[in-house]
Parts: sequence; structure tokens; C-alpha cells
Amino acid sequence: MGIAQPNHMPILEARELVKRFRVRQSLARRTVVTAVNRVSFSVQPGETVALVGESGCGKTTVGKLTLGFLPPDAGQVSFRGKPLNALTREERLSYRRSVQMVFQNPLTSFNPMMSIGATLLDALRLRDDLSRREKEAEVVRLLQRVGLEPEMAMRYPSEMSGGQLQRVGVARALAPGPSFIFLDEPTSALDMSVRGQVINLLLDLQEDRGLAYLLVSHDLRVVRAMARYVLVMYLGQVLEEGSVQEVLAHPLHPYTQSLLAATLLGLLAQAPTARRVRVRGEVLQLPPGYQGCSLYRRCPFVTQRCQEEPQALAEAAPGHRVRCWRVLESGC
Amino acid sequence: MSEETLLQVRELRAVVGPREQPVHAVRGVSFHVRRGARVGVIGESGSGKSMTALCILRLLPPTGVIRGGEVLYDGQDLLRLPESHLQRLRGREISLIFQNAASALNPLFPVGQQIADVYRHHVGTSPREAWDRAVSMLDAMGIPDAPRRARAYPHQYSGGMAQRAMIAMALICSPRLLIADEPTTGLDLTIQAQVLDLIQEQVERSGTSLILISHDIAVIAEVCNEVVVMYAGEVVESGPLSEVLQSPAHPYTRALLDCFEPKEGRRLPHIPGRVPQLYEEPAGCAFLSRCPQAREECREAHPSPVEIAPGHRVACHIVRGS
Amino acid sequence: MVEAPAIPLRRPRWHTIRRWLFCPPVIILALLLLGAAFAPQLSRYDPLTPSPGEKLQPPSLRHWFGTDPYGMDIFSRVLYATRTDLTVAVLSVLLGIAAGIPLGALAGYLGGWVDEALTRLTEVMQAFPQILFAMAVMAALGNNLVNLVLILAFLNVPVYLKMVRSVTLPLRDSDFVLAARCAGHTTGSLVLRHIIPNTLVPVFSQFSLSCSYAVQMVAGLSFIGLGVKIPHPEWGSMISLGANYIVFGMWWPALFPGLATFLAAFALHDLGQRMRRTILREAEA
Repeated sequence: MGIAQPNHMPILEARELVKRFRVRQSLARRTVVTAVNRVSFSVQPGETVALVGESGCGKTTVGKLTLGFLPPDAGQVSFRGKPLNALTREERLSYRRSVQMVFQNPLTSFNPMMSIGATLLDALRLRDDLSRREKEAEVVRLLQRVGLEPEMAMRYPSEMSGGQLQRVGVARALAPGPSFIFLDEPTSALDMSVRGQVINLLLDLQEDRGLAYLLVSHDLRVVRAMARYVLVMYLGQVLEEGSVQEVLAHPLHPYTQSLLAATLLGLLAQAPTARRVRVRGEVLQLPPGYQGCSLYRRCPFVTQRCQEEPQALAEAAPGHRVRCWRVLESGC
Repeated sequence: MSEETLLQVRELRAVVGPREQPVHAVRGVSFHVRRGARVGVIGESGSGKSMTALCILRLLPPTGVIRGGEVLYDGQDLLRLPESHLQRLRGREISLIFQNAASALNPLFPVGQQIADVYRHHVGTSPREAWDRAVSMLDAMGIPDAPRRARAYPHQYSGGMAQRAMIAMALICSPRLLIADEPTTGLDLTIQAQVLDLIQEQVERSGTSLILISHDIAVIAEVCNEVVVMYAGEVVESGPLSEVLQSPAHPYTRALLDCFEPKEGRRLPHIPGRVPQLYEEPAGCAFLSRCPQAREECREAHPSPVEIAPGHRVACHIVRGS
Repeated sequence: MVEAPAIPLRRPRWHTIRRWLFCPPVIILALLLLGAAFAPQLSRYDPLTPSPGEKLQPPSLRHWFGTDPYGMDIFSRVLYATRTDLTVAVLSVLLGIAAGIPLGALAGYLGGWVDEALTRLTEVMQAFPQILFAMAVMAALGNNLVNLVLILAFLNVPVYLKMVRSVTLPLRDSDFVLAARCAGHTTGSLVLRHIIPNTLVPVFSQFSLSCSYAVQMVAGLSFIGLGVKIPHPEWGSMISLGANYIVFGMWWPALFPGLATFLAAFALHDLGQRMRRTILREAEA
């Protein structure tokens, strides 16, 4: 998947991941929610794969599965070609160092009792190759790498702006020397004018170090700037996937179209190619046993057939897959 | 003040923070809202846009103080009105919608009852009548099965539903002015689009004037027909939406709009630095430190707004010079 | 134009220091502590030397607080008793905290059966009347100072366990804990480095209150003869000794140690309340 070059082994690969949670609805009733439903992707060095979707679509669960903080119920995550549960002790340590995360909200992702310097030192704890003094020097280098003054090491999270903290968040993720970073909406808590700063920093780092990113975002501008491959998720399922250029220029699934329209909103006048599609209502959990399209009550084009047939993810154009029979049959 | 102006804000000034070292959050803000107009206020966090809205209704936080200016609503200055009088206006004639709707609703009472209470308080009808009115409002807001949902409590509402309920509460007395402060921030994209549609539709139908505060130009472009661009407590540019979008004049407006519509290519545009927190009034332009075109005069003199096209006003030395 | 100072200058504000330094509970506690520290200098009498010729003397210039039924100087004994009571109280609370914090953090962080077991255990302990429990155990183990400290410490564990657990629960799912796991923390090091430091503020505000209760417990147990034994200077045992003579109009042997107990318990309690209010205010701001 992606623009797979056969001689390149993906750093991280997810195959048919499934994760279910038991949710207590009331004292007596418990239901099973499938948070991630047979999701597959692979990330090559130096490449960004984007997951796009709204809250409850399973993006964060996918992140936790790839970081190894949750065991999948089915399917598997492979690190450098080897399934996570088959890693030796040493490989596991290398995996822990190689796979890092940048959080959505810079204000809650830092220990309020620890200074920035202490936080970064803490993030270097797995770097056994460095002495205490070398670690301190590394903290200064990390701060400079993300464009902050070394003096900021003395500050506490509450004394910094959101944009600065998010740079520290990037520095923290870099500290163990990763090859893969899970970016969980890295800019959605930031002002528009500083989003570009953080994204450009991430792009530079990717170029320098060949980092692989798994980017979760609903800002399609960010997705377009960063990612080569995109998966559009809804209620744990991939509804559409393909290269970013292809999917954003020719969105096929009504859900993707509505997301695109919602990002641009009033600016649509300047983007005539995008269609003004609106899905209705709220995210609805699916009734147990339901097999049809997960968007069935919200889609403006819904028909009887959508509810009755399970929808398969199938190729609509080369490298562009969609889970919608209407699109697949009519090609619209 | 002309017949068709509903609200005129003139030279509004306010500070916030500790008394020894307050931040000048609103510094001489002037703009007006015509009857039926939909005015968008855009700015980054720290630009003073929410503070301006709170000043209009005199709802500043305890550390905030209005230092001057006037807010003429229908010819009367809201800043000098007795509190009791203002209380009658709030909710009845001027309504406010906050960002976080779920926390603005009281968790102990059913949503429908809270909406009905607002109506009863201002209009003085029977509880029965108020309840019916609340249910029909919720229904108009697109809440499915409104009679049943009205009896539900806030925690049983999703974020989008709660925001719809807030809009119902804000509009139940048919106010003449609705101030919506980031009404869709934090909502999912598809929900955001629906809520904006709803606000626009309701405002248009009842002829209510709207002040929509947002950091997202796409949101404002969707709903509004006029726009006010704020930076560091000042209005730097204002005018008809299409005019400002197509030919932004202030360097800040241009830079901000660039951030929303990146050109092709891997790197995203941004504005270096951040909005300054002003503990003192600057002598020159507040955007100076981030402006790519700053000149000597920008450092020395404060730019005052000039009209560069009908209704399109810009406060910038460079624009005036050219 | 003046931009925001990079780091808010945290000058120690004199009026804040003064407000804490000169508030009534701090003054009372300071006086008690000074009295305890300089007891040998302040009093001419040994607290343990009976003077058979001077039994039950009323307060006078010779004996400021009078003497007790053995002829021991009450002023001297009250000062020395401060050492006993406050040491036992503070030590037992500190021990309780030392055990309560890690247990509470583990219960909150691990959840599952560990949490279930510890929570049930604290509930059982708290359902049992404390004074009865202490009496029973003291009677069984024998009353000496070490046992007294251990029992009071044991009684303090559930308070801190519950408190730390409830602060830990929301922290467990916070982003910075996930970040710490990305950095390779094990459960133990994560709880120690990231969870426990964030639970210390409420613990700190409870400390003074707990000491107040502990002072009352020490004095109470000693009063019924299950704490510190009689010749050793201790407020509770002194009160119980003096209580027999109140009916004969001899009020001083019971009054002065009673006053000291009251002042210590009151000051610690009031200080705790003040700290708690301040922390609540800070948290709101």
C-alpha cells in the first residue's frame, strides 16, 4: 500500500486491525462497540500516512494500537516486518524507542510539576548510551532543533504558549531517537497563524531524518501539506483511501466530500471542484448485528440498498479505494 | 447614528488582569452592526475578540475593567445603563452563545425546562406555554423527537445537540442581536457545518443581527456578510466580506488569509512570532514585530483607520501610503 | 511596547509571607514549639521529680501552673508533654502518609483487583470506630509509645490512600502519562515520577488537619490509660490525673494540660483549614 517500493520495508504495518470495547450503557446493559474494524495500512520511512475522520471514528485507538499500548482483538501490527507479539526483549526496547507520539493538546500533555528541561531529560531515559552530562547537552540540542531557546528548559509548561509547548512536544518525541511518530492532531489546538510553524518543523524533521509519520487530523489543509496517503475513517471503518492528491482532488465517498466541504465552508467559492455535500445529524452508533453502510442515516444519497448490503472497500480508480456501492457502480 | 444601525461600538477600551499590571485587551475598538447584518469578528487567541463581546454586555470577568468608550444599542449607551435595565436586555434583546455549550447548561435540570425558564423570565407566560414554546424551538433547531428530548438532561446531549439547545435558548425570545462566540469550535466538522447552517437560517428568518466571533475565516465566510479583523485588541481592518476576502489590505489580514488557503507545495504559510500581550499601549503599530513590510513610521506613529473603498477601512501606514 | 515578561517574576511577596507568619494558628504553634524546645530553660523543675512536700499546690509564683498530686510542677510537665504529644502525632501522620501515598497511587493507577482490594480494605477500616480500634489494639499489644505511633499511623493510611487514589484516577488517562509511557517508563517509575508529585498538594493541605486529629487521639487514649503511662509527661494522662481533683475545687491539674491540648488541636486544625482554602482559591484562579 502507499507507493510501496518492494525493496523498502515499512517501518510500521497494520494488518486487518480490530479492536472492540465493552461499553457499559447502564447498570445492567453492556454493549460491544467495534472501535477499529479491519483497518490496514503501512508506513514507509520518510512517508506520512494520514487518518482523517471525526471524533469516535477510531483514529486514536489506531494510534494506541500502533504504539503498543493496547492489544488488538484481531489482526496485527508489525514493526520493521516483525509482529509486535513476536518481538524479542531487545527488539521490544528498540520498538519502544523508535515509536513515539505527539499529542493534540499541548496544555494537558505535560506534567505540570516538571520543568521543560526535566520533561526532556525524562524522555531520554531509554538512551542508555548517554551519560547524565551528555543527556543535558542533548536537551539543549533538542530545544534548538525545534526552534526554542535553551533557556526555556527552566520554564514550566504553564509559562509557555501553546505553539511553544507543541514544539517541546515535538522535541520530546524526538528525544529517544524515533523512526516513527504518531501525530495525534498536532495542530488542532493551535492558532491558525502558528499551525504552519509546527507543520513546517515536522516536515523539516521528516526530510532530515527520514521519519515516518502516522498523522491524525481533520484539517485537510494539513493533510494535503504533509501526507502522501490518506485513509478516511468513520465508526472504525475505512470508507475511502488512496493517495492524498487523488482523494482530495476527486473525493468519491459522500462522507469524504462532506468533510472537504466542511473544511473549506465559505471558502468553497474559491474551490469550485469541491462539491457541497452535507451529511446530516450526529454520529450514530450502529445497532448490533447491522451489516449495511455505517453512514446510512446521515448520507444525503441513502437508499434501501445501502442498509441491506455490507459495503466492501474496493478499487474505484487505480490506487483509490472506496466503500460505497453507488460510487463503485456508477463511477460518479 | 443612522436609522439602520443597531449597535455602534465606539473607542471601546478595557483592561484585564491583576491591578498592578493589567493587560490592555481592548484598545479603542470601533465598529457597527447594521440591522439584519451578519458581522464576523476574526482574530487569533489574545486578539481581544471575546473580550470585546463581553464588554458589549458588560459581562467581563472579575479582573476586567472597561476603561472607556461607548456601546450604543438603539441609541442608548449600554456601558452607562443601570444593571437592572441591562439585565432585561440580556437574553431578551441581545443573546449570547458561548463556545462550550455543554458546560453552559445546568446539569441538574432538563434542557427543555432551562429553555422554557428563559422565556418565562423575559416574557412572563405560564409554565405550560413556555414549555410548549421551548419544545417547538428545539424542534426548529433540528433536534429529533423534540418533546421527548426536551425532558432529557444536558449530559444526555452530545456536543452538537447541546449547541443546538443553546441556540434555541438564545433565540427563544426573538432577540434583535445575537452574539455567538466561537459557537462551533470543538464540534466535529460535519456537525460544525450543520450548526452554522442553523444559525444562518434562524438569523435570516427572524431578521436578527449577528456578531459571529471565530478564529476560522472559513466559518465566518460561510455565515457573515461583513468582517472585522482584530489584532492585539484593535480593529485592523473591516469591511464587506467579499471585499476583504478578495482584496485584503492590511498585512496581517493578508498573512492570516494565506494561512487558511495554502498554495500548492509542501510548506505551509505562517506568521512568525505571536500576538503580543500589551502591558503598555505601544507607540506605533502593534503588528510591527511580525510585519514583513514594517517601516520607520510604523514604529513611531499609531496608524488610524482610513476608508480605502466604500465601507472598507484599514489601519495601516503602508496601505495609506500607497 | 512591552511584551509579556518571559517568565512571570515570582518574587516572594512580603504581604503573603506576613499573612501566613502572623496568623493566629501559626503563632500558637510557634509558642508551643518554642516552649517544648526550651523547656529546660523555661522551667526550674524536672518534670519527673515528685516533691512529696508540695502536693497539689495552687498556681503561684513558685509553681506557675501549680503542682499535681505527686508534687510535680505542672508548668514544666505541660512543656515537656508538648514534645511527647506533637512528636507522636506528627510522626504517626507522616508514617501514615508514607504508606498511604504509594498505596493510593498504585490503586488508582493500576485499577482492577488491586484497586478493588485496597478500596474494600479501607472501607472496612473506616467503618470501624477509630477510638475503639485503637483501644483494642493497644490493649492487645501493650501500651507503649512505639505501638501508639504505629496504630495512629495505621489509622491515617486510609485517609491518604483514598485521597491519593481519587487524585490519581483522572491522571491515569492523561496525555502526559501516555507520553511518559512512550518514554519507556515502567509502572513503578511512572507512578513515582509522574503520578505522586501531582498528588502532593491535597496531601499537604490535609497534613495539618490529620495532626490535629492525631493530637486528640493521643490525648484521648492516654486519658483512658491506654496511651502514654502516667509519670511520663503527656497532656491526656495529666488531665485524667487531675480530673479526680476537680470535685475538690482543685482545677489546675486538669485545666492547664487541657488548655494545651485544646490550643494544639485548634491551631493545627485552623491552619489546615486555611491551607485548604488557599489551595482551593489557587486552583480556581
